[in-house]
Amino acid sequence: MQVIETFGHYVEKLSDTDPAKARVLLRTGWQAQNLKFRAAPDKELLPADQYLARLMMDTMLRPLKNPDQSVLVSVFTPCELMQEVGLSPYNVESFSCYLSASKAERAFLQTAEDCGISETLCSYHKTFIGAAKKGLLPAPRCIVYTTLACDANLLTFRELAELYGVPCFAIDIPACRTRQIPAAPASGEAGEQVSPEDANVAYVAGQLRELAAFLEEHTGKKIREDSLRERLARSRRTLANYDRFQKERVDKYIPADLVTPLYNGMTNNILLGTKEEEAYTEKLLASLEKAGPARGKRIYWMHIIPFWSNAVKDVFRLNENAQIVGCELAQVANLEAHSDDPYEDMAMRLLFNSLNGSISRRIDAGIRHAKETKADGVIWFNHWGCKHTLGGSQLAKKRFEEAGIPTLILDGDGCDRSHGGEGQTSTRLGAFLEMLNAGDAEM
Amino acid sequence: MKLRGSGRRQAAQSRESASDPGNAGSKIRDLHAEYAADRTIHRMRETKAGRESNLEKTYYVCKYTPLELLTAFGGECENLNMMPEGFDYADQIAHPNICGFGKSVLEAVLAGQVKELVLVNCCDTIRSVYDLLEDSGQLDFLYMLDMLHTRSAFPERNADASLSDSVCSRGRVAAQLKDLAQKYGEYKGRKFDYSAFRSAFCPKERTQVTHLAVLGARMGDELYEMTQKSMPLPVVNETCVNNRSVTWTYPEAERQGTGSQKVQTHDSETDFDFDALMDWYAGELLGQLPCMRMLDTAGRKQLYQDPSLKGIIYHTVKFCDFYSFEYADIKSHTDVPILKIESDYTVQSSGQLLTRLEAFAESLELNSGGYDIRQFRRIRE
Repeated sequence: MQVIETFGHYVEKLSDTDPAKARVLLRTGWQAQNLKFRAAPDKELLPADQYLARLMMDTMLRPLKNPDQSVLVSVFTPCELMQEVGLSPYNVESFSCYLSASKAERAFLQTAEDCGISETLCSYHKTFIGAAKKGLLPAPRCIVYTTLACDANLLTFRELAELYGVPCFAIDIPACRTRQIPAAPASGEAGEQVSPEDANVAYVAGQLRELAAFLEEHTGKKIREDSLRERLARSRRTLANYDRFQKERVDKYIPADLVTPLYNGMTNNILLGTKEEEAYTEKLLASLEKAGPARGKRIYWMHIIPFWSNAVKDVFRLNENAQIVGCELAQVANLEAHSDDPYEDMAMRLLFNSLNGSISRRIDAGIRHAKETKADGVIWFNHWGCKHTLGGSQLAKKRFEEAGIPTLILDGDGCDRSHGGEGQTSTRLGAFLEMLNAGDAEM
Repeated sequence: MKLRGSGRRQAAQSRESASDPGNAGSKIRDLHAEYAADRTIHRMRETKAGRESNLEKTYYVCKYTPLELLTAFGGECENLNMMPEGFDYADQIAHPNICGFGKSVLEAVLAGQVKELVLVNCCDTIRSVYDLLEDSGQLDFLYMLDMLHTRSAFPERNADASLSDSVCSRGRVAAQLKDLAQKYGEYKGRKFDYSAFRSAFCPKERTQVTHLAVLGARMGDELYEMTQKSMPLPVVNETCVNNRSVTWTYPEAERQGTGSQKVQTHDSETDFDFDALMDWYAGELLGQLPCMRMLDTAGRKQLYQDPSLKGIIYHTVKFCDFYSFEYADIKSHTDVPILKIESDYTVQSSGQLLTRLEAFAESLELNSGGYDIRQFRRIRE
């Protein structure tokens, strides 16, 4: 633990005087960790999840090694088009997570705040902005983001585009106004009334076609529709595999730490369409056969997981008595919505994302996924700075409990340790699990 | 009434003593007294009849709200901008760490002061406010307009009009306007009144006189009044809904269009193309001076690159992140004095800001340079 603190301290310190050296140090440290993942993986985790840790670290290292071959993205940006032109995802939320895991987030948060940026902005965004302003994180080839789910996207990516001086493309996502998802867009034949959701699909698909042209212009590579269609089919297979894994794990004990569900949230978005992510979900399904019977309390987690928190680790890390069996961010896509047109298919994934539109859509999806995994309880994590999660928390607790799922609202921060409140987190988690166990005793 | 008169007298005395720079502490105390007296007047005006007439109004919070459309269906629109004493009601249903303005909207509705509300999906907090109010069932009419973040997803191509409506943000917003028109018309039991629609447009003219401006996040009425009183120059509120600028430029020739949906006007039997009108109107709404939630905010520079602007009071609201980015940019790109203040949208927080406003006013007087503040002070008094 001391090694990580010293490493983080040196990265922060060098960023002040020589950001290029700080970047080399950061990259070397992460490469060393990647070697450890390969040579001495955490044997308590499933082989699939050991593979996932390496896959995620490879993804993080690519932009540090070849920033010119990377594209800065928000977490829900559909990355299949970028993969087609050979650009690697360079994800703001993931980088902030990894900087926090390297205990190097504090100086960058402070840098952002010193520039006048609000202390109440999401710490994932603030950490990245601070690290970029210090010169630690390199300029990408271009920036692509969506307006989906989070106001901070609008601010952060605009700021970074100006700072880096690179081309930027924003995908504007209308709100999904229906709780039921149409199976496919209308054919749009003459005289036929087009529903608002169909028109929204066309609107977003139109932007994605423009994005394809933007990427072609800035990379000099062509996007072939047949290849893209094949990649989208792989994305659907990957999501279907993961969905099947979640449903079939109900009677199994799957050892889990705090970062694996978070990795799922990242890779099930930014790596969708890659062979590696599909291979991961196949490995997950294969591991089910060897898994033992279910035991302990099963918790479905809404929003991000504060992986750094010892209070949360003490309760859920590789613990047979209580495990996290799913994370909302890994299951935001709605598998019922699909189109044979690859651009419409991506548009539908964005529009019918469970975080798009009213909080009821998000709560409905959470209840469905929690029930599919036979979760004993749900934790709704109020990440400091996430106004949509904070705003909907009391409504969510009411609806989850009406659906028969005990729910704990837990305040904290997924990235910034200074918003932690470890004592309170420990007390509240302990009380919640006691309550769940007491429910068993009464039965 | 005696108290009110006494408060006024104290306030007048404070104005006289304000000219004495050595009496700053007393001046601030007097302004506090004046402010408290005004609050008393404000509360006394809230009679039962006043409250009942307020319940018939349709409240809004955002400049992208189609006020002219609501007016055309008989709506009396009012900006919901009160600062409550506290968030006793709001804190019962919402997390404390959402923006204070969002909580002030919840507070007003839950206190029974609002029955009709049209929101725009301005930010994550307002989206949450809509969710909570929809669940509360406290409103007779509640609607949230899904305003997109750009006038056109592809401005460079929009110029040649080569995009279909489905691909253009204007088309998506026009569809929303038609949906609102249908629902609001049903609620009001009224038909669309073309002349009322046209008459409702009030173009905003930008001031040319030497002035100060409040920029940034919206500022509550009470804090704005206090800011005006404490400054030595006229103060223009350029925040949020206050810089709304939708102008009637609809070509009359297009009134008789060939759109599929024709609507009979309320005041005449003339048919006209409602679809075309809403398409034009959507473009006008989207084409306003942008707020910070829009993708392209370059147009906002005109707010602080104004030669008649002599100082900026930059306001942010606790837990609203949009405007801290603009402040970070402005503070290094403007030559005029700038004061940043943050409120939580309660009256209490406003009172605490008075000292800082007064200090800023004094610094303006000391550094007035090329313009005579005393002249403006005399004009104002």
